[in-house]
Amino acid sequence: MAKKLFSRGEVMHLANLAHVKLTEKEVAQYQKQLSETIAYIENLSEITHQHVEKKEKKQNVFFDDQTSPVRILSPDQALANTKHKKDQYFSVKKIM
Amino acid sequence: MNIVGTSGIELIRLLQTKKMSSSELQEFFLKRIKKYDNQFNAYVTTVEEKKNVSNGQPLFGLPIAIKDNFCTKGVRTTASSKVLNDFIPPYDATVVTKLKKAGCILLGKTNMDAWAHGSSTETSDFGVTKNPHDLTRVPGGSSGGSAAAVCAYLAPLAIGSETAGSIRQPAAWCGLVGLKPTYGRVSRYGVIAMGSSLDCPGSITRTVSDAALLLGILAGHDPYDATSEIISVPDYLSCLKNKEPLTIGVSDEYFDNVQPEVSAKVQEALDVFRKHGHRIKKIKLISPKYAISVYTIIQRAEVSSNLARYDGIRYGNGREYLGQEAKRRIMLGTYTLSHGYYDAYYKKAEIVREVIRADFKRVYKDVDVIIAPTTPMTALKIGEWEKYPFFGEMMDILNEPGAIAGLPAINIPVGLDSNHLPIGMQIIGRHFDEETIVRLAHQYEEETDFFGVTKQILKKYQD
Repeated sequence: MAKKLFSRGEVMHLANLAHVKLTEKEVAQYQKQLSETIAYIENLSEITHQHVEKKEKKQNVFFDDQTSPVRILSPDQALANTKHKKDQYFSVKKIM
Repeated sequence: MNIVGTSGIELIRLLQTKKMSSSELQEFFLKRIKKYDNQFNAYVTTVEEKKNVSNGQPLFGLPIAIKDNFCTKGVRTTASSKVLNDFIPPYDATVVTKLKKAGCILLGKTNMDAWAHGSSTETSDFGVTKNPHDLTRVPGGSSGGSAAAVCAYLAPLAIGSETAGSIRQPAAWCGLVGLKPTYGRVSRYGVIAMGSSLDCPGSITRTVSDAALLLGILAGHDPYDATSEIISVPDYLSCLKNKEPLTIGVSDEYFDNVQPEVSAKVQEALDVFRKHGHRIKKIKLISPKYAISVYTIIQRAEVSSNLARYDGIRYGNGREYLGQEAKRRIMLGTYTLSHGYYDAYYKKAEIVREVIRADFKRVYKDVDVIIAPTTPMTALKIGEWEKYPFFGEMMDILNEPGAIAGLPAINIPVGLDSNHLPIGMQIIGRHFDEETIVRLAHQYEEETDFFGVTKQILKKYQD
């Protein structure tokens, strides 16, 4: 694969998708660092894998559909760590 | 009574025979923390509150330090990130519940790389932790605070967590025993998640017996962690007596780019095993450099998803408090998981992960354990990481293959280098075969006393 170079726009786009804010300096840094990392991990294409044993069987694990009394938080406990609440609710920005 | 350096098991004996009370012991460590921790910065939070313990509990009032990514009810838990600067969990992690039930007293929460992203504690938002062997150097990481605390005896033993190297590497750089159990052996419930398919709670201790004691308490299935296995837990302390000869695999690939002094000490340690009837067998494993790529892709992907929950709504501060390392990892994970790149990166990494797992499985048909250096070099100076592109991965290169395969491993000290810095060696075992690595490590300790590495350092930090 050709060497991938991250453009300023691509880094900004990723930051936007990931909801992180970057300074100008960080954008330049990440352009370089993300490109270097992607260049390194290309070495995986050197590994051929025709002879891999079949993946061990994985299975889903489910909880019983009932609440565990030990793990229930009271409204006060649930709200104890928030900085944004109104009465017994978390308050968030309008989304519509 | 000078108890500096006394192991957890010996302290329990002192408590049980009433030579000391639990609150006296807690006071002893809190005093040492006050006296010395301004030099190391091993703790983010200390707990002064005294607790009553009852006879019959296996750890009977033993104080313990816990890495700050384990939720502790009512005690601030930050993962060393300002995002969680004032987060007070309303519940305990399963590991914490088990320790409390066994009679442990929480001394405090130890510093780490923020979100466990790093190998030196330099990414902590609460300042770097310093290595008690040389205060100009890092203790390793991410469980660097736990390692520094045990090294300078600001705690008799500590809990750490490892995704790939975060227990073994700081244990190596601080000259301690670091046990990373099999993935699924110890519950991850209540541990602030980094790479969920890799994260593994474990211990940092001064002796192998203490590691065996703690594993016996922490191991076991937990209904709150769907990836914890339903598999019986052996008595790790009684298996330490076993001295039957083993076949030890050694792979040249794990000595590439390793400092000659480090390689030499590991070879000397192999001679100790040879002398006691164990057989050393050359094996060939896939180069660990591929594990770096697999690990980088999978871990960043899991980080980007795990850290998505920190939005500052229900708890903690907003995402503007995320540090540079966290942002870098989140963005790379977002990229490799995104449409059009998923197959080239994430899927490919999952396939090579299976290749590496199969490679170990093949080798374990012929050998009982694998021995390798834990790190390619000894502890670096603070700030030196900038000289190494890919610093964390380069320091953890020898830990990553085993971690992505989910294997258990233990670091033990095998000597000092010419700068008087500890050198670590790891014993990697089969899935869920902690018994064998622990008993082999114990035999080495009995024979060598780790050449005094864990003890001599305490001359600098007497009471």
